[in-house]
This record gives sequence, structure tokens and C-alpha cells, in this order.
Amino acid sequence: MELAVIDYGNGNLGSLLAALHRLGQNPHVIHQTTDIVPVEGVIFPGVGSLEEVVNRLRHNGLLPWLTDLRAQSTPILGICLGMQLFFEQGDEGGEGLGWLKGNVPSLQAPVLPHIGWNDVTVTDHPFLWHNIVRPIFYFVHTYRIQPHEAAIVRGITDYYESFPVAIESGSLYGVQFHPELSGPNGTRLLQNFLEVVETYGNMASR
Amino acid sequence: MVKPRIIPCLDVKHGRVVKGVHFQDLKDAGDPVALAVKYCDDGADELVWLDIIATVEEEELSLALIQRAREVLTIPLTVGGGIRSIRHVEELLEHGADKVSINTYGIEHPEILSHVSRRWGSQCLVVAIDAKWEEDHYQVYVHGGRTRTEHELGDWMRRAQDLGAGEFLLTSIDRDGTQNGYDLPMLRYARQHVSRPIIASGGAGRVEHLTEAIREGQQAVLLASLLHQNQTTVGTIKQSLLEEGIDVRWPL
Repeated sequence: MELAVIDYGNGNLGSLLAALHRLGQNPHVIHQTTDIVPVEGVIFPGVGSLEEVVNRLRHNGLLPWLTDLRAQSTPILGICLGMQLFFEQGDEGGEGLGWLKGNVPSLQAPVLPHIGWNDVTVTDHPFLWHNIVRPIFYFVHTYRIQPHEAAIVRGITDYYESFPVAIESGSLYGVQFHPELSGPNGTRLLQNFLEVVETYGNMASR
Repeated sequence: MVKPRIIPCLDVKHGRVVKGVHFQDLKDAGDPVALAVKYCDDGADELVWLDIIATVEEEELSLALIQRAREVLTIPLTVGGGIRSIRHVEELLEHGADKVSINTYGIEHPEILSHVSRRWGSQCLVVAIDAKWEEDHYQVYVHGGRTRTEHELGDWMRRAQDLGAGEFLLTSIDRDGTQNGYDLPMLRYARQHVSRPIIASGGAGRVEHLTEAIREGQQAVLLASLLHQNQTTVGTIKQSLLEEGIDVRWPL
């Protein structure tokens, strides 16, 4: 399977790459246009700040490629900040990609970031929850998504307030938690995404 | 609601896990990678790996071990000890650390804290602090608890938060290695000064020590000697906490 992991230039993809290696994948790490290869699936990792990351993607010339992949319905998984990136606007004026309608405000809590393992209440829509019996995942974040369309939400978590932590819209998948740091549950979720990518790849090659 | 984090700590020297009392009398407690994997399998929510690094060779050994640990670990890994440059932070993150913990150097050169938080985000930066009660206040110490600094605990925590600390690892020098329980008064005091998560460290000797800290609202607790001496496992501890009605991550 040809899988891309986007590198925003901070070089801390260790946990995500290790998790994908354990699943038998050897993803292409894409930092700039010269790294671009044909892929069947993309992962946006979750480290950095919204504004900085969009600027990096723009500066490194990756935006047209990513926009094309999205138009071709290539499965894309956004993790944490990687999911927030799909939306329009962050709290501090940072702009996202604007692929989905909604904002990225700060959480309202006395202790931030929200760090640690937390339960996810999942919706009954099919999502990447297959084979995950008790959905508990590892979170590290200060901002959260506020999508305009409630219909794209696939999971909710509580930390002093309730907020959406999983979304699906066409070929876009997003999770606020870090599957690469979430033990066996996280491994299964990544595996489920790889199965989506595999199905898409088979369809595309037909 | 977020679950309390049970965080085993590995103090690593020359590629081996060590543990002492009051930062002294270090004893060999095993291979860090094997131990890290065991803790992860037993249900640790996160790991802290503190390296005692003196030479370039030790730094290379440490990076190789961290990479080996990362290949198998499916939980977050914080690495600290002897960080003295952005380049070293870069290397640690490239070798698979998710967060870095900075102590002495952050006090001597506070600008490293803002550099790390600006470049990688504050979620990547754990500021470790060793403090001790002095007559009427808590004083910050460095160099593994040997050197007194000019900083009062609350002042330094607020400053570190402003510089970008995403989390604190607060060790009580008075309690470290004693197994007499966490320093709850110090933790209460620290909580009043910052709005970042605080990992309680130093003093855990029995499950009741975790229970009392968590019941007070402590979201993260560090474990070291309790685990090293094979007195108990993370799994057994978590089961006891569950029986006490504490909502820890379980099953794994």
C-alpha cells in the first residue's frame, strides 16, 4: 500500500512511524514537492500549531497536491492538529485548510492541555471503531473542533465540557486523540484506516 | 472525564535502570527497554525516561535505546536528563520521544524552554522541578537535588508556564525514595500557581499513596522504586485503584 505521512518539518513523527511500521507499512514521508509520489492514503500527524503548519504546507508547495488528493476522494486521516487543519479558523487567528466548515476554539478547563486517557462515546455510524470494544484513547490538546455540521461527528469526549473528537466527511477522517499513543485501541484504529485505504486503492486501480 | 495517569519512571545510567534514595545510593534495576515494554504491557498510561548523561558515548547509547523502546511502545514516552541544547532535543524527538523533560538547564538557560515550546508546541515540553521545604517555603534545587537555586517553587513554576511549559514533573526531594507517600502539601501549593498538568513525583510506597493523591484531584502520578523492587506491578496497582472506585484505564 502506498501511504503518505505529511511532515510539517518538525521531525517528531517517531511514534506515528513506529506504529505504522508495526502494522507492516513503510509510509512515504512527504515534506516538500520533490518527495511527492502517487499514494492511496494520507495521514496528517498531530504536532505543531495551526497557523505554522498551514504556512509550512503552503511554503513547501504541498497545498495543490493535497487539494487534488482530496478531490480524488483519497482517504485522509487527520490526527489531533491534523484533524483541526481540515477546518476554517483557529482561536488565535490561525487559518486551517477550510475543507470543512467550522472553527477550532480553545477548550474551557482549569487545567490545560487536556492530557491523558479519556473515554470516547461513539455514534452508531460506521467509522474506524471496528473491533474496538471499549474506546479509551490518549489525548494531548488545548484546542478542539467545532464543526458546523453535526452530522459529520462520530465520537464525543468530556473534559470539563463535551466536544467532538472524531469526524468523517466523505474521504476525510479525523480524530482528536493520538492513535499512535493509544495502546491496542489505537493500533486497531490505524489498522481500520489502512483497510479503508486498501479498499480505495483496489477501486482506484480497477 | 480524563483518567488519572499512572506513570512509571525509568532512571537510566550507562544504559541500565538505577534507583536510589534521596537521589543517592543508586542500585541497578535492569534493562530499560525490557522494563519499558513490561510496564507498557502491564498497563502503564505513559512512561518517563530520565537519563543520567555525562559523555557523548552515553548520549549515543541513550538515543539508540530510546529508539529501540519507541519501536515497541504504544504509549507516550517522555525523555529527560542532561538536555543542554536544542540539537539534543531534536535528536531525542527524532529517536522517538514524544515529549522532553528539562530541569537544570531550563533554570540556567530559560530561553531553551521558549525555543522548544515555540518549535514543537508546549505539549512537547515537560518542565521537571525538584523542590524541598525550607522553614517556611518550597525552594527549587537542581543537579539532581544537590544544588540550591535562588528560585522559590511557585515563582519558578509561573515563569516556566509563561515560557511555554506544557506540563510539570514535580519531585519532592524530602519524599523521593522514602516510600512515605507523595508530598501533598507541596502539590496543593504548586496547583495554586499554574494551570498546567502536574505529575506528582517522589514518595510512592503503597497503593494508598496513589489513592490519596488522586482523590485530591492529582491527575498524574509517577512511580519508581515501588515497581523496581518487584514489590508489585502496574496491573496490580491499577486493579487496587479500581477496587477503590478510582476510574483508571482498564482494560487496556
